[in-house]
Amino acid sequence: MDEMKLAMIGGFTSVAGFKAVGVDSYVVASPQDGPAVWEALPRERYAVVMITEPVYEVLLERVPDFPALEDLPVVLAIPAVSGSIGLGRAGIKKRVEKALGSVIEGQNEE
Amino acid sequence: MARINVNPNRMELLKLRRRTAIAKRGHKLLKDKLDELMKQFMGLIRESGSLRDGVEKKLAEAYTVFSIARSEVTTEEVEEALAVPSATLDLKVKDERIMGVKVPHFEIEFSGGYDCYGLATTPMAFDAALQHYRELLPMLIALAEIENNIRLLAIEIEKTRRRVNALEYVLIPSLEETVTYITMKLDEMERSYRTQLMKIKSMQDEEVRARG
Repeated sequence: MDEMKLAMIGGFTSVAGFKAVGVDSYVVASPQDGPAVWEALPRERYAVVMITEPVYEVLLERVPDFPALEDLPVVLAIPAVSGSIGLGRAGIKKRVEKALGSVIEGQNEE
Repeated sequence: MARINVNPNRMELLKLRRRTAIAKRGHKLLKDKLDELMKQFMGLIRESGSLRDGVEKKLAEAYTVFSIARSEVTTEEVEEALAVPSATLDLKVKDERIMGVKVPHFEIEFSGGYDCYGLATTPMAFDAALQHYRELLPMLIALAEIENNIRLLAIEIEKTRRRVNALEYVLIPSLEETVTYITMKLDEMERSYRTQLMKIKSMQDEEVRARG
């Protein structure tokens, strides 16, 4: 059993509250800074990295093999202060499609 | 379908028959595994959907409360208040298995209070906001775990499906074809051996008759 930490990447307002409860926080000034912060992140220390959706979006586009498939840390997309844009859900939907070969309409909707 | 390149003799035939039987058994087992993986997978998906709904709702709440707290002080004051958090948080990572797939399981551990800021300079709402965040974290971790499980299971399902297909559409047909080929070849050899015998026999008979 390993002891690891929890990290979060996001804008100041999104991250600040988490910082106070002990999450290692990495503040980005704008989503465009995401890749640089991601590269610099000491990834082996973290089991889970939470990333706000705007930053996650940029990372998806700009960083090859993101998110890594089988290793830690686990990347979790969460809504930023500005509200959810449904990215986390979309990611899961894509996996389901890949695994099943097809998706029956409405199966994933609430 | 491509036939396997082997010598058509009885030895190979027996070997191939055995291999076909094994391949068929493996195929059935893998197919069962795929079905079960699928079942687990669908369960996880349903679970993750409702969990994500809960998390997003709660997160929005936490953000709202935090924003209200923030609005009462300047950004600098917030930064100062949170500059040195006294609360620490550890994640214990354990390996679990779902259908033989190794998945990490996280356990969260808090230590230290979060009263790292001066009570005089920060509004009361701050405390409420941080309480929200703290309640939220286990949910977030659970969500990360489930989404990760889905990811890992999806990979496993893909792999298993590929294996099932390879057995079903490539290996088993080619084995069966080779078995038929060898059977036919052996029959053919037998027939040619028999005609040879008959021919020799008739030649002998003729010789005997010619001698009188």
